[in-house]
Amino acid sequence: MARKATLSTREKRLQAIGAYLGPPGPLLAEFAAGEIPQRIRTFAQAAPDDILAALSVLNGIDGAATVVHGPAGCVAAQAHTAPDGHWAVTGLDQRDTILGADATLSRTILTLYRRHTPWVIFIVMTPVVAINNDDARSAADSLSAELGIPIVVVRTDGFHSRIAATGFDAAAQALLALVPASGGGTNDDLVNLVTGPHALAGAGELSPLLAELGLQTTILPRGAGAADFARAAQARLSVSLDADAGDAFAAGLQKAHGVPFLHNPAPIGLEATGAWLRAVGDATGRGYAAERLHASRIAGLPQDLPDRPLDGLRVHLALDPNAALSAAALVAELGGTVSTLSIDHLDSATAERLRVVADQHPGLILHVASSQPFEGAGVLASGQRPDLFVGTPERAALAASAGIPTVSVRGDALIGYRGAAHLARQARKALRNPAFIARIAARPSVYAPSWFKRSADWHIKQEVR
Amino acid sequence: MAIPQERPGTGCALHGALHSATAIPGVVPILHATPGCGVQSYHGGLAAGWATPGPAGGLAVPATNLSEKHIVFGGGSRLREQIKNTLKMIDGRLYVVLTSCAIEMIGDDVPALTKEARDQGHPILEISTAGFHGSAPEGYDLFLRGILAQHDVLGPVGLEDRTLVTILGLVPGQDVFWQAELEEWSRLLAGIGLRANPVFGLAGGVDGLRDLARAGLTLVLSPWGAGVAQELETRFGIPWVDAGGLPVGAAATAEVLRAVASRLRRVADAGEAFIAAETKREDHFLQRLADAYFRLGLQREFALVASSSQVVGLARFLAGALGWLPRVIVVTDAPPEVFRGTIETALGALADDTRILFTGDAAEIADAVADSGAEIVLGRAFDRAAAARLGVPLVEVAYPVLGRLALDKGLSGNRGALTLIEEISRAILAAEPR
Repeated sequence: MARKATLSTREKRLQAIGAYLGPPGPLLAEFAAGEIPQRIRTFAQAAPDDILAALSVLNGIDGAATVVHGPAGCVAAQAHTAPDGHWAVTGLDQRDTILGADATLSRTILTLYRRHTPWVIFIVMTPVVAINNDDARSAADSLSAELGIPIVVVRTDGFHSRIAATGFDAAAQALLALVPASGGGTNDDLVNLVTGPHALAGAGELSPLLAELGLQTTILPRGAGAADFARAAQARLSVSLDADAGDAFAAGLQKAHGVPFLHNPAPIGLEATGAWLRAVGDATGRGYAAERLHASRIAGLPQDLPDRPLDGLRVHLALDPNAALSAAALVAELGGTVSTLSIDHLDSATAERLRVVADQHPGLILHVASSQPFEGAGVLASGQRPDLFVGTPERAALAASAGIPTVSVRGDALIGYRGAAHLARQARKALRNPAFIARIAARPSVYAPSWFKRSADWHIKQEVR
Repeated sequence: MAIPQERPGTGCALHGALHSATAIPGVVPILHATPGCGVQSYHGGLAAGWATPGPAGGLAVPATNLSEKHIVFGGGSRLREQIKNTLKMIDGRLYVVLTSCAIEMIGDDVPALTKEARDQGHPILEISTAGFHGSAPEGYDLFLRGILAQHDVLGPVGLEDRTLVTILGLVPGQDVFWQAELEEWSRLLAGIGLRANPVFGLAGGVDGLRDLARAGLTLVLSPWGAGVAQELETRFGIPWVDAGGLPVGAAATAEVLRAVASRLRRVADAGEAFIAAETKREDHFLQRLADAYFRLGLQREFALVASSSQVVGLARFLAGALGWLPRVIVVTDAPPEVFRGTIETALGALADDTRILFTGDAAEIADAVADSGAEIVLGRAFDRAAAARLGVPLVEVAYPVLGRLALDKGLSGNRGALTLIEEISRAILAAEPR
């Protein structure tokens, strides 16, 4: 039997941290020195885990099915995030936590297969089976041979890593198993657009642009089916639109199949989009055409995109790490200054980009927290109160309750030329009529008044080993 | 033994307890769990009509977020720290530690840690709510029984109040319209001269939990409230009335209001006047429905997919007031065995050819709905594809509901019946353009 595949956590692989508040300088110095102490919280609120991250990717695979091996609560989010998907749960009860439930897992896989005939089935592991050491792999191997489809164990467990994004890596590892060797055939006009869980709008913006350069695209993993994965190894190169969720897959394609991975920040912002197009153009022998395409798109920007719509505004950006770092440049293009950057985690792969953003936005405060609205409330109530908050829907609701004009957006919607116009329009609406914000901000805070007299990093401590 | 299911919509016991705790103003849950449990619950809650959770719920729920070292060496010290800091961070009248699967597998001594805090004078208790104990409705039951087991933490009970009626059985986060239903039943009880103790929601609170033990009666609106009602009767001598699920429409509502009044030996006149006025109001609006009823083809054969709190009331109203015919009725939340016969009998009385199923498995439900030949589906967001297979409208009435917001309109009582008709007509008009 082959050895179990290993999965390194983001903490080990990229020295990721999930808790920090303050100027970026000291933290960047720690990254430069290569000694980053892990920080923990002495008070915390609900945080996501690797299972949710992995499911957010796997839910997007066309024609696939997923079995979550655990109690029924481990699929509760799916009712909201994948109501129409093909997924099931083994539904473990107390007895199964003692005796295991390998047979139930096999039965669930078979039922799901007979019902939907998926081309691949993923088995997502949960804390209960991790603690119990259930042998999902045997069931997967045996049924894979019987059914003639890949059945892939996704190595999540809910507690091994404090960085939920480790689940993206677990999903990537599972997805790479679906990519067959190209057999030497390469399509020089084919580019893999590697998405994250939300990157379809961005891919929809970029794919037509690449088509204008004479490039075909395979968009994956979001929305991809068996044929797309079969083509992935034939591509000339891969580009990732969501570095946090997609880079592990793109890097894996390079390592396993030799498909070059073109590292480039997400094309958020007009200049960044131009740079991204030029990079793809240069790598595919279409540099001049890419340059001309960018110039024509800039010339053709909608007339209603105002010049510097965020002029003089202090903006709090709260997006996924790489999207936030890219969006900082867009805020600057639109005339604003980023006062605070809130991200789930920071790691060695993004630290250098943070340094550039910090130089561009003097006085920037960095807040690293996955969820943790109490810290967010503390930051917003402090001297860092911004004129505009731009964040994911979860974070937007928090900012709105603090009475700050708010734009709810995911990084994906900011990609490309349309993304710039989108942010400008959403910001204009939020600033022009914040009536709803004012209404909900009137409600008293759930936190004790004493909390707002403390530094918002009060509960972040360095872990004692 | 494990019951695998495709796309179940009933969450786990932890989520039921967590939604229940955050639905009571003044209660602060402390989630002792690995990361993920609270966020799963948050997303699950959004599928209940896009509801934003209470201020100490959702992503704001205090949580220990245990890591690998705690799984190996125990999470007691982390919980102690989290309790101490939660008491400082969030002003609550009652703190409740809820435990997850992983915690109960590693065996943290949670009662010892909450006792430490209680000994310091803090109102805190713990409830064993591991997800593997059951579904979200079972978590609601566990939560309330856990409160009753440690009821002294809430302070002296006070004198019995025979005008106070506790409403039980609506599971926050699972019964999508629970807040609106509690408001409607509070209004209806007020109409016959009683006061509601809704425990949960805007008019609920920690006082409502304390008053569980001094109310004059418990009104049970689903099988999930019966266990607690039984315990209130055994321990405190409080009688209870089983409404047989959420009544819908004036006739069913009047039956329950009369049963409540009778059980409390209330003088009937004022209550009857109220019931008559409510019935007159429903008659008035049904009269106004007449044109639309025939122009929109509002007599339908229907499929109903909903929880045990809803199926009987909805089916009785559709059949009894609108003249509809049930083709298939699916009960999704696996009510305790003892209630299934009652539900089957009530549903079977509506038509002798109705197929009745008890299952939460989305694949099984989809087949049953698609095979039913129904002309409309009243069900869940999960049932959209099955309705599409039939080419008929879907009205989302049960968890998960993603096609509409759930704010202050419920589907039970008198007001809810009219809302139901409006929702049905909205779905028909959207699916069948004139």
